[in-house]
Amino acid sequence: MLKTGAENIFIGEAGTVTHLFVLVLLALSCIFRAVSARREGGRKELGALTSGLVLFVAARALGLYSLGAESEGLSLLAAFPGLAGLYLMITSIVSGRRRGDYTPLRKTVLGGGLIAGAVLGGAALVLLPDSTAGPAAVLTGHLFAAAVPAGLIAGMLIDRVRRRAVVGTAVRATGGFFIGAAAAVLLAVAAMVSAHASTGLPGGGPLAFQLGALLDVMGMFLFLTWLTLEPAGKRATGAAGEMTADDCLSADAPAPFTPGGRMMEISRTIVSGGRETDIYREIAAAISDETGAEFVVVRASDEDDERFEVKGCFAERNDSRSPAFSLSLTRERLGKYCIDAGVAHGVFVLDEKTLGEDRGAFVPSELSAEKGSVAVMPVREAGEERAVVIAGFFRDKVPGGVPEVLKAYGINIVQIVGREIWAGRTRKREKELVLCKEELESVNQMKSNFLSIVSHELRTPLTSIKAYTETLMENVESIETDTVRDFLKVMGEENDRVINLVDNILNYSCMESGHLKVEKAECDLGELIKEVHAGLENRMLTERVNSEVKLPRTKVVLDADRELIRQLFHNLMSNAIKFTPEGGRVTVTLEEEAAAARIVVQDTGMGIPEDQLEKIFERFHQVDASDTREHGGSGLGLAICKNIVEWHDGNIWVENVKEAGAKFTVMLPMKDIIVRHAVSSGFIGAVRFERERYLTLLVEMLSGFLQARKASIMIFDPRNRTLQVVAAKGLDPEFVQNTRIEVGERIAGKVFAEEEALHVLDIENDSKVSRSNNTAFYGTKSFISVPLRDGDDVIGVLNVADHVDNREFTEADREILESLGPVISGMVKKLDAYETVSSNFEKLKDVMKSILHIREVWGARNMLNFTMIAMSVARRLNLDEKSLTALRMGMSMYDLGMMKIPRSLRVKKESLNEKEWDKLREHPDLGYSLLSPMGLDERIMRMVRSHHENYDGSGYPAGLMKDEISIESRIINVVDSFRALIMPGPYRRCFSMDEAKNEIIQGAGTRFDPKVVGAFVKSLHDLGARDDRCELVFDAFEKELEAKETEQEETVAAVKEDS
Amino acid sequence: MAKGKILVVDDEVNITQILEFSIGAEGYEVITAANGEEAIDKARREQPDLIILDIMMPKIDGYEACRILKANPLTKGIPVVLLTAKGRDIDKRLGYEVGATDYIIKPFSPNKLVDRIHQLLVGSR
Repeated sequence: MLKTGAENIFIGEAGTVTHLFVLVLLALSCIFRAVSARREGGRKELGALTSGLVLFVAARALGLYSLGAESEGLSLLAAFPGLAGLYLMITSIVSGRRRGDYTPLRKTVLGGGLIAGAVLGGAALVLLPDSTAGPAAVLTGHLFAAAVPAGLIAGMLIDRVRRRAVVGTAVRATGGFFIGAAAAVLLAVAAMVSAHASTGLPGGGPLAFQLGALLDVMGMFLFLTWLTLEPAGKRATGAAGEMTADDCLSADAPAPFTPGGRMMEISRTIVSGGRETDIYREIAAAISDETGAEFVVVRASDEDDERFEVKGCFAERNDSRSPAFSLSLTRERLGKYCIDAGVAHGVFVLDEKTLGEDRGAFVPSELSAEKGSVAVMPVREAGEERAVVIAGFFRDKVPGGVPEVLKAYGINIVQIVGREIWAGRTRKREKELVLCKEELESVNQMKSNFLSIVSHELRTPLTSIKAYTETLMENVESIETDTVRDFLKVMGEENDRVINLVDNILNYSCMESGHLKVEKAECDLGELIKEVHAGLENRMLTERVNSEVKLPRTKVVLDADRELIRQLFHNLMSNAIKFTPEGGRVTVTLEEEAAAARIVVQDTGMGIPEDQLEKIFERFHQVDASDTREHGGSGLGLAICKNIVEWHDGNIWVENVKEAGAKFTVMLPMKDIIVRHAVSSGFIGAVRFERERYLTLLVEMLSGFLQARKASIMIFDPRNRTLQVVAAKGLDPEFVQNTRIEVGERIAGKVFAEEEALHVLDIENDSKVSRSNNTAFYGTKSFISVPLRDGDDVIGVLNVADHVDNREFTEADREILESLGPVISGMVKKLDAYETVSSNFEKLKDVMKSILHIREVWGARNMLNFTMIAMSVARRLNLDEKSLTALRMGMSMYDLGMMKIPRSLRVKKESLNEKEWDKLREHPDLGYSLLSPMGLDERIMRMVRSHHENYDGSGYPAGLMKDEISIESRIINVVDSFRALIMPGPYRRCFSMDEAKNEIIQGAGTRFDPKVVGAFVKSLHDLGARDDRCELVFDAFEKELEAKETEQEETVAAVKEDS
Repeated sequence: MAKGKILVVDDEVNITQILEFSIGAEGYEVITAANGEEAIDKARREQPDLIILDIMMPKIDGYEACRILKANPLTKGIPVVLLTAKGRDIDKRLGYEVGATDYIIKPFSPNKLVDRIHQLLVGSR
C-alpha cells in the first residue's frame, strides 16, 4: 500500500531522498543557528537546540523508515521524540530571541500545545471509533505531533492579545509570523493526512499519502525558512525599533545576561566617532530589547552641570526622541534616591510609591498616565555622576535580571560619556586658543593705537611749545610785552595738556597693575562737581557750550578718594564738552538714592553709535579713530573713569538720549555703613575683612530693597542677653559700636521679645511707641522693625527707617522686609560658621549692583507700577500671602540675569542673529545661578528661571507648558511682556497702553495663560491705568501721591515759617 | 609790500597763531584756515603763493586737500608744504605722491620753516 509509487518523488525511495534532503537542510540551518548562538555565549540555548535537533531529525528519520517498513509501531514510536525535539527547538529559539520576563508566554505555548493536542487527539478517537488499534495509535501519535505546532500558533495569538490588552502595543505582524504559522499548519495537516492515509479509511490510499508527504515537505520547507529568516542573534544586532510578531513570545525568566555583539557594535560606533545622540539612542534601544522595558531614557550631564539632560530615549509606544519631563533631574534629586535605596553606584528600583513626588523626573510626561516601576542606574565617570539610565516598566515590579543588563550597558555609557568629556575639553581648549589669539591680536592693535594716539597727542602740544619758545627766543628784543604774555599763556596751556596726558597714562597703568593707592575719606560730591565745573568754565566759554549743574538740597557725602573722584568728574565733563557743538548744553545732575549716589552727565552732541556703547570704556578706544577725527584725546579718559568707578564698587554706563547726545550715568554706592567690629571673635586678617564687607553688603541690600536711608541688622548676643547692631547704614558710628539693647527695652527689644513686626507710619502719633523714642534718629516718621528669624527661633531684629522718597513705609514694604529675614539670617549664620564667603560675596555684590541697575533702567516709578499690576493680578487669582510676597520681591529680581547680558545685545533685539539670541536666552539661567547662593524662596527662584516660559511650551529655557510653569511666573510673563511694549525700545517707538493691551490679549492661550490675561485686563481697568509718554500711570495712585506731596510741602512751609 | 602771500592751515589755533606771527614777522602776508575744506576755498579765492598744510584735520584731511588742490588748474601751481606730526617714511611718501613740494615734521622750528619758505618762493620765481 505504501509502495504504490516507487518512482514517486514524495514517497518511496525517491521520497525518502527528498525528505532526507530537507532534513539535511533543516539540520544545517539548526547548526548555523547553534553556532551563532554559541558565539553570543548562549550555552543553554546551544544545548537545547542541539538536543532538539538530534531528537527531531532522528524522529523524522524513524518516521520515514516506518513508512517504508510499514511498521505502525515504529511510526508511533517516532512521533514522541519528534514532538519533544520540536518543542525543544522552538523554545530554545524563542528564548534566544528575548530575555526577561517571558515565563508566562512560555507557559502559554506549552499549555496551549498540550491542551490543543489532547483535544485534537481525543476528538480523533471519538470521531474514528471503527479504526483498528494500530492505525488509531498512529493517528493519535500524529495528532500529538500536529498538536504542538497548532498549540504554538494558539499560544502566540493568546499572548499577543494579552500583551495588547496590557501594553497597548500594536501588533506588528510581519512575514515571519505568517511563515512560522503556515509551517505549523502545514505540518499539522500533513501529519493528519498521512495518518488518515495509513488507516485505510475511505479517502485514504496512495493519493492521500502523496498529499500528506507533499504537505509534510512543504511544511518542513516553511519551517526551515522561518528558522533562517529569524536567526537567533538577529534582534541583538539588528536595527533598533524593529519588532516582529514573535517578540511577544515568552522566554525563560531571567536568563543570565551575557554581553553580546550588540554591545561590541555600540562600542565600535563610539570609537569610530558615531554621533552622540545616535549612540545614546542605540543604547536605550538595546536595553529596551534586552529587558523588555517599555521605555528607556539615558540622561547625561555636562561637567559642573546640576541637571541631567535627556540624551537618548527609546519607548515601545512611540518613537519620541526627546520626551518631556515635568521635573528636571538634578544631582540633588538623584543623590536623594541613591541614599534612600542604599546604593551609591549600583542600580536602584523605584515603584509608584517610592517614586512619589519626583515621578515627573523619572517618567516622561507623555507616559504619565501609566502605572509602573523604574530601574535607575547612575553612571559615574571620574568620581562624578555623569549619566543616568532609566528603564521603565508598566508593571508593579521591575523584572529580575534588569540590573545586570543595565550594568553591562553601563560600560557603553561610560565609554561615550568619557568620549564626550574629552571632545568637550578639546573643543573648549580650541575655543580658548582662538580667544587667546584674538586677544593677542587686539592687544597688538591696541598697542599701535596707543602709539599713534599718544604720538599725536604728545606732538601737538609739544609742537606748540617748541614753536612758541623758539619764536620768543628769536624775537626776545623786538617782541611786545602783550604778545609775550599771550605766548606764555599758550605755552602754559599746552604744557598742562602734556601733563594731563602723562598723568592719565600713568594713572591708568597704576590702576591696571593694581598699584594705585586709594585714600578714602569723606567727600562732598556736590562740592567736587562744583569745583570741577568751575575749572572747566573757561573752556566752555571759548567753545561756546552752555552748562547746568543740578545738585540736591542736601549734601551727598561719600567715602571715596577725593582726587580720583575729581578726575572722574573732570574726565566725564570735559568729554561732554568736547563732543558738544557750539551752542549745545552739558548737564550734570547729582541725586541721592537709598544705597547709592547717582551722577548723570549729559551732552547734546551726536551721541554714540549703538554698537560702540560698551567699547568706549575700553582703553585706547575712540569712536572715530580716523585721521580726520575732529576730537583729540588719549583714548584713556573713559577707561580711567570706569576704573575709578570700579575702585569704588560702583557702576558706570552710557546711553543715547532720544533727542540728541549721550548720557553717562555713574552709580556710586553710599558708604555710610558701619560694621561693628567683631572684637571678641576669632576673625582675623582677611576673614575679618571679608566679614565686614559681607555685612556691609547685607545692609546695603536691606536699604536698597526698601529704599531706606537708614537700615540696621541687630543680633541677639546670648552671653549678655542683649541685642547689638552688627551692621548699620545711616547711623551714628558711636551708636553702632556701643549700644546694647536689653530684651524688651526700646523698639528693637520689644520686637525681639514679642516676636512680632512693628510697622509705624507716624512715630509721633502712634500708640504702640512711646514718645520717649528718639524721633530724629528715624529721619522720617515712619519705620519698620521685624524679628529676624532662623527657622522657629528669633535671632535678632531688622530695622529700616527714613524712606528716600520721604514717604511712609507701606504694608508691602513690611512684607518684603519680613521675607528678607530668612535670607539674611542664613547669611549671618554662614558668617558665624567661619565659612569662606568670597565666592558668595562676589555673587552678592553682583546681585546688589544688578538690582539697583534694573531699578535704574526701568525707572523707579515704572518699577512700582508694574509691581502693582502684578500684585493686583495675583490677588484676583486668589494667590496666597506667601505667593504675593514672593511676587513682590520677585518683581525687582526676575530680570537680574538680563543685566549680565552685554548691553549691545539687550538693546537691539530686532536685529539679533541666532547665536546672539541664544546668548540672550541664557539670561533666566544666569539670573538663577546668580541668586542661588542667597537662599531665596523657591517661588522667587522659579520666577527668575521661568518668566520666559510660554503657556504653549514655546518659551525658554526649558519649554515648559501650562501648569508646569508656576503661576507666579505666568503672571510675570504677562506683566513683563506688557512692560516691554510700553517702554520704548532702541529701534522701536513705545506702544500705547491699548495697543500693548491688545497684544497681550492676542497672546492669550498661546504665549499667555488665558486666566492670567483675564485677570490682567481687569486689573488694568481697576487701577485706572493709562499711558503717559512711554510710562504707565495709575490715576488713583497718582492722586494719592499728589495729595501726600502737597501735604508735605505744606509742612515744610510751616516749619520754615516757624524758624 | 608783502614778499608773498602764505596760507597756513591747521586745526590747532595755537599753531596757526604762532606761524602767523613768525612768518608775518618776515614780511609775508599770512592767511589762515582751520580745516581742509576752508583751505581749498581760500586757496581758490586768495591765490596764495604757498600753502602750509597740516594732515590730521577734521572734515577733509591734508592729503585729500592737497590732492584736490593739485587737481584744480587754478590752484595746481601753488607749492604745498605738509607740516605734520606723522613722521613715518610711508606718510612722507604718501605726501609726495599727492603732490606736496615739501614735508616738515612736527615739532618744527619756525625759523627753519621760514627759511624753507624763502627758498621755495625764490626757487619758484
